[in-house]
Amino acid sequence: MPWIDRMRGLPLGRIVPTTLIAAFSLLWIFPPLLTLATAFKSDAEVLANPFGLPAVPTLDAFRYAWQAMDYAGLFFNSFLYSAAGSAFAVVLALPAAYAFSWFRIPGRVLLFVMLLTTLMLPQQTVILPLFSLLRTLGLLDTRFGLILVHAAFGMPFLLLVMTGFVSGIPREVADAARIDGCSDFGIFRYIIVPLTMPAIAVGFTINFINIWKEYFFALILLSSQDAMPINVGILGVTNDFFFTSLNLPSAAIVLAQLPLILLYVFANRWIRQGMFAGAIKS
Amino acid sequence: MTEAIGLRSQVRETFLSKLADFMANRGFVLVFGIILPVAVYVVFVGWPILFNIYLSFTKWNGLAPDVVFVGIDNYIRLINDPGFRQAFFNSLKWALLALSIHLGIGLTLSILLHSGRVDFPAFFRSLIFLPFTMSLVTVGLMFSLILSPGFGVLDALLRGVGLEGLIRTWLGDYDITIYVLIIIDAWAYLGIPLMMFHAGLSAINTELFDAARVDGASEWQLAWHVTLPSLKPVILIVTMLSVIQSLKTFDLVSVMTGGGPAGGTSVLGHYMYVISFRRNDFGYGATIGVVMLLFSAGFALTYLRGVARNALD
Amino acid sequence: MRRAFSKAVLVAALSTTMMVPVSGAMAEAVKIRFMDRTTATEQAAYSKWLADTFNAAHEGEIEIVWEGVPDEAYKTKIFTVLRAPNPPDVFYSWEGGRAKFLIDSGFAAELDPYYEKYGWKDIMNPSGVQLATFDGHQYFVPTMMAAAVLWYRPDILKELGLEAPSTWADAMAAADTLKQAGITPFILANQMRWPAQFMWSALFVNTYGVEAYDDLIARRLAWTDPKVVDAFQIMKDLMDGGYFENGANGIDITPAVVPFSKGEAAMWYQGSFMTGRFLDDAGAPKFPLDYTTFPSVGDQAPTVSVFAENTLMMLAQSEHKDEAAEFLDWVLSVESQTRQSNEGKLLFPANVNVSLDNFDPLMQRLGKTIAAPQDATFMHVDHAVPDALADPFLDGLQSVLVGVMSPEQAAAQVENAAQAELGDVN
Repeated sequence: MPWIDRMRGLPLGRIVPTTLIAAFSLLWIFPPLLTLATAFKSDAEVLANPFGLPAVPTLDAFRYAWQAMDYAGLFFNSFLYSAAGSAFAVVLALPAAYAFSWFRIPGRVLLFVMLLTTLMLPQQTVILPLFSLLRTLGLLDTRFGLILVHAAFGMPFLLLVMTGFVSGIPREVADAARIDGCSDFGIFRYIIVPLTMPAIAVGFTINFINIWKEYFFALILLSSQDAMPINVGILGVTNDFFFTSLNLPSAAIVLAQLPLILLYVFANRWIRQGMFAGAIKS
Repeated sequence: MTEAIGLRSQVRETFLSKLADFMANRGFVLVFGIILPVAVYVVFVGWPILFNIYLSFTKWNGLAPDVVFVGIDNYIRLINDPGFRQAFFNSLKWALLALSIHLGIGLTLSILLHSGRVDFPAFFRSLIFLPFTMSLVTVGLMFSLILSPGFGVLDALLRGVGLEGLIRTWLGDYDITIYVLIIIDAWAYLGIPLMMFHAGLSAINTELFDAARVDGASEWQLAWHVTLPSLKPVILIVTMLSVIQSLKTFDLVSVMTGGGPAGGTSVLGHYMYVISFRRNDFGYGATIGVVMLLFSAGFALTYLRGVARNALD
Repeated sequence: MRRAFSKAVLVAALSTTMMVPVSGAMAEAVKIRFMDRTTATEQAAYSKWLADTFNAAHEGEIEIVWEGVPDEAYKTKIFTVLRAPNPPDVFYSWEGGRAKFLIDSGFAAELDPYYEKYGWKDIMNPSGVQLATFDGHQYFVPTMMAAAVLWYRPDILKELGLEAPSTWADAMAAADTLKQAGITPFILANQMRWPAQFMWSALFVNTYGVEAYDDLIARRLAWTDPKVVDAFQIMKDLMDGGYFENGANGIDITPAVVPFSKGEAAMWYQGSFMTGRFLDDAGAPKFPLDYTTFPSVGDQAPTVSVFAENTLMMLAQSEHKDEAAEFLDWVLSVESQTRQSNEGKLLFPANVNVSLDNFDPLMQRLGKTIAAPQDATFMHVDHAVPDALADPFLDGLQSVLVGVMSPEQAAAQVENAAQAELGDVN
């Protein structure tokens, strides 16, 4: 960049680009911050002071949104789908990661690529058969059916993350155990699983977030209100009543986002690295 | 002696005896490591892909028991369907524009943040990554509020700085709404290209820069002749991910406009849903799914081969 | 040993005294699953009341298992449950194209014997009977009727020396006067795509006759027919001529009530379901309000669109059709239908014997219009045709109004869909 070049050595050389980038990043942080601020305002204050921080912060909008939209139920469902879906996916993916990285199974690259196609597959290409399959099995519009689907579609991402990790474990670690007569399962149980724990944690967390953010499957494979995750249930705010005020939908958005924001704040580095590794999923 | 070598010594044996041997010795690995995940894949992904292709040759309303085979009728319909054409070109527009934002702004920003002339680069990268942790549904709702006519914050801002003339019905104007959605989509996704370019830039050998600087190259020349060529693989990956991402687009459109006004924001991923679930035409909906499959397959397979090699070796 | 024995005796005694009578009664009661579409709190409460009251009266014989599904989710839900184990015996079904969709898919029971047995034709709204009849057989019972009418502001028209238009020429003359006075002649409020089709359908029927419209719906007339193109063109001319409110394709019906109530607009051709937004809690209009039927075009007498807003079907595969019919008869009873109008706030009843005496005079008049036998009637397009045609039609109409499609293109779009769904014109 020539303009940077010219300023090299000047004290301004850092201040100007930093200010520019800061101004640009404002575009990214302003909408979420605005939503957060609006959620803490009363109806009257939103009108009087749309941009500033809330003068008299109130939790009324949160309280109202929580009750009117049955957020307790929506949260329960979202937690259930995210946690159970990811847990099932881990259980499916971990032995597979072990098998694919430690054993020269004939045709393994082909099989591995096949499993990974799920990652890049638009959901629209499988939704009609899935809909029909789940209906035949009596699993359409059931929590268990959606968990199964999330497990199946989350498995390849975990497989990718954990295969990279498991193949990095030195084989010598297992040799001693094998001499002691340990079986494949023993090695998996006593060596692979404990050593892979960090990867399991990262993979589980990211998969948890992915399922929390997921919309298409939940929208189509569920129709009962009491089974909806928050990402579909939150659309209740778009009715006339909610959308004529700004603070109620803002509060609903903040609440729906809270678990993810918390995860992001407390496991920031972790998540970014993991998401980066598996960005294909998104 | 490792397992790999142990197995490799058996290469001369026939495939069948190898398989039998494998079964006997490797029950756990075979059943839980290979068969189970592959079976799950077959039931939830593999079979649905094939069945979807079959459905694309049928007429089925999604409810009645009878599925009627109609040959290539649905594919002929694609050619004559203005709704499909509209969705197709909107998707194309989406892919190209989103890609130019991901590459253009993503690269410029990454290079600036990596130049050492910006303080707190990691902090700024985190800020821009933040929206990626939000679901597109909440992103869509958030911007629906900000852009809503009458009491939206954007209009208030424009009025505040004397730019009333720029105010539009952001989500109800046939000519501009699709661009509004594309920009919001790129806003939410930019963190990913940024992280990728950051990783790519960090991997470039600094000696290359030093050598070029000694030769008197300007920063601009450095960026053009050293940085960009070294980033080529990353640029390719970002391109493929961005295009597939655009092709799948559904959430934002569904939440913010439902494809309107007058189909102005209808994209393939959403049109497929409209045809299948709003018009009860599962056969034709499956056909649009097959079109999406064809477009994504080319990109996906090239990319995944690289990913798989990387992970397995 | 002894203790174990006495324990066994105790258990046996308990189960004979407590379990048997209860389980005996349970085994006798026939369970009927009833799935209704719920739209508003009052309506859901009414629907639940139907089941509860019926159950109390038939204790030990029939038990209605009620489930309410919100409007937006209802359609997908129907797709889910009808093909799943344990489908509902009685379910909300829509009329016209969607009802035909369920009939053709093999899920709707033919109700002719029950229409006969309970004499439903004698108590039911005559248009309702007609709507429930497909190829000479009845497949649903209408439970709530509606009509599309031209709502207008009598005060505004009077101020400008105008009267409620009885011909389309009058209506256009009045519209020009209104426009000059700075008042929007017609509200369209077409953000959600469906509202504009009411006027389109009425214009088509009253210009070309209800037979031509029936031909169009029954696929005896192509959607590319000049009559169809012409109806699109009239709508486009009205739009381009400034006869609808500004931003008519960007505003929904509820917010559009505001300019209408303030007198900034004078006329609105829309369904009777708008009364929920026009009336106060006591059932009187919140602002000066009147209605007339759609004005006649040319020298034909006007045809009024009377349609069934709510309908119930019986599952063709149900094992308890007689019990389900018993329940349907209860839904149609004067007691239920009166409650639907009063507590449920759902106008108008499908049973013509329900008294409307305690309603606002305007509503009484409208109720009589709806209950009167019509020479002919029609449903607006998205009720009349299956979703496969209705959706591209609504898209096309909005596209014409927005100006991104010509009337010919919109007509061709619907014709394409009709080709694929129903085949060639017969």
